[in-house]
Amino acid sequence: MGTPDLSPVTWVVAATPIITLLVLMVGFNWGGAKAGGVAWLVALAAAYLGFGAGPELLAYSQTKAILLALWVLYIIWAALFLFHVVSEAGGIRIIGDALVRVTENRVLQLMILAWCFTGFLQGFAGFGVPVAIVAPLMAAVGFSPVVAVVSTLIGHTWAVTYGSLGASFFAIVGVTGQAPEDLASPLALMLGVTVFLAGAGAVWSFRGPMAMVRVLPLILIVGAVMSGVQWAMAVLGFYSLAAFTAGITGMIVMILLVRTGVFHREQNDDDTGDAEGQDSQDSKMNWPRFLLAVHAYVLLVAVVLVVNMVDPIGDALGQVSIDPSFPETSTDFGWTNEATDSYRSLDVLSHPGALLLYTAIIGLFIYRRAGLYGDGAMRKIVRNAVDASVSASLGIVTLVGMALIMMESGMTFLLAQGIADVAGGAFPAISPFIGVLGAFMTGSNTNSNILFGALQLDTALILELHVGLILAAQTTGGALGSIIAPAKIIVGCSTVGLGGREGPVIRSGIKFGLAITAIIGLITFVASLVVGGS
Amino acid sequence: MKAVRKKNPLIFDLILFLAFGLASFAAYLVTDAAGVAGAVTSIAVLAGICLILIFSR
Repeated sequence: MGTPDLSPVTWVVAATPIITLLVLMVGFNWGGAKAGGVAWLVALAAAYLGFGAGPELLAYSQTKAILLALWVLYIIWAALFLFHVVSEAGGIRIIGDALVRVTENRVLQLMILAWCFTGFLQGFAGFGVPVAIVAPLMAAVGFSPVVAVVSTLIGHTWAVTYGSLGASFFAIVGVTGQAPEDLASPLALMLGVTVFLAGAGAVWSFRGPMAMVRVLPLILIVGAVMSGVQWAMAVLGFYSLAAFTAGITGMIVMILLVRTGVFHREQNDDDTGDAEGQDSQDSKMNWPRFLLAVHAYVLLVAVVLVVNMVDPIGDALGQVSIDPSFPETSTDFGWTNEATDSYRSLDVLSHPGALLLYTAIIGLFIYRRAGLYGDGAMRKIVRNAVDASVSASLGIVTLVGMALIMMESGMTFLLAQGIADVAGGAFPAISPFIGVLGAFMTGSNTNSNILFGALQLDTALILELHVGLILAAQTTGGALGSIIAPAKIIVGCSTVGLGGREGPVIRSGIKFGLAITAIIGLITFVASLVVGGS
Repeated sequence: MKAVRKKNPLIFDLILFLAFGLASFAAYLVTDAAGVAGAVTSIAVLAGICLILIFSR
């Protein structure tokens, strides 16, 4: 088998890095970077002492880890840079203000902001940005701080996996070695279900089940559009644009349906009326300003389409790549990692991160020419982007390092064996909860996928379950974990003046987060009976 | 170590991140060139960076 014999002792030894992470981050409130460093050392010791992993295997595993991490970090750095380019020009605020003007109906405002706009922002930013931007915007127009944070936490979850221009998706592709085209559809289908649940949950968290029922047709129509667009873009290979375009399309359809009065009968007297701080609906929309604010996103779509569809450009940009080969390595127990000619090849100039950078640079130039930047804006943009990136990057490299040690020494496989033995046929129902656990611990869908992607894959293979289905459950759970991740809750609460008083948000978040995850677990279980293994 | 990081946490973390990344890349070259001895050295350097990361916070 290549690992020590499965027993409670060997299973616990294999689990010690993850247990360490859980205890330090949840029990002692340590940050991801510090806890990740300890977990890395624990994984090293467990692999060397318990699983017969030699120095060469461990050393090569770390080079593989940094290549995998770089794949994801390139996107994250560039996405944060683009976000700050737009934000410093006032673009995000302009878009948010415009959206608030669409309707006086509070439930519809919440749907536009907490469900569609957060999905759009998650599409290209991530890392708590949607909650950090939209929650204070909602609080400013009269929603209670708790509602503002809870509804945005719930509402944005559908866009997390294909968000950050696909960072979490590429993470699960990377750690599992699955072809992206094989995972795209099952992941998008399961996330498609989450679109509806996120919209319903966001409304329910504000005004209860009857308000949700009143706007159910709107949830179904807009939900169908967003989930359909996300699925289509993913299946067509535009993984980086899937959530982003779905969010934009959802916003447009939602606004059209609301403005044309199609759902005016859904309005309830309790749901209308100005709140303190809300701009009058009568003030005119400044269209040139709005279009200038959104141009960077139109540009992003154009850049991605051109590079992906114009072969000469795609081929030219694909000339520069990092493409190392690795020898075979094995443990003393016989666990073998096959030699490879090309591990996580990275095309430096056509990678999604590069496309984001091109967009950010062009956008920077246009905003500057339009006079939208104050003094020192460039310095502020770079500093804010680096500030946001560095801490997350340290956490990611240590976690990926830990995950690769565990995978390459057979520890992950033994963990999967133990889970398969205990859970058996019920595993599909548990699978999304593992994803939630990962996101709860690390604060990120990307890190949850890195941590548990290989474990879920191995368990699916042992139990002869459909790999795409189980990995879809993993990443969907990882996305839903955003609702209860302490890191995201703290970020959201701090932006609306609830710093230090996160209790009500956590309680509400846990209720909705676990309920939606249970529904996804049930769907996964039923689907596993229907689709069988593959 | 905490006092050093306190002076400029952003630069400190950036240096740690770059050090970890470069050491991970270097692990490939050093192990390729020097076998087990190279691998042990690489792992030791990475472990050292982790310890700095832990004790600087």
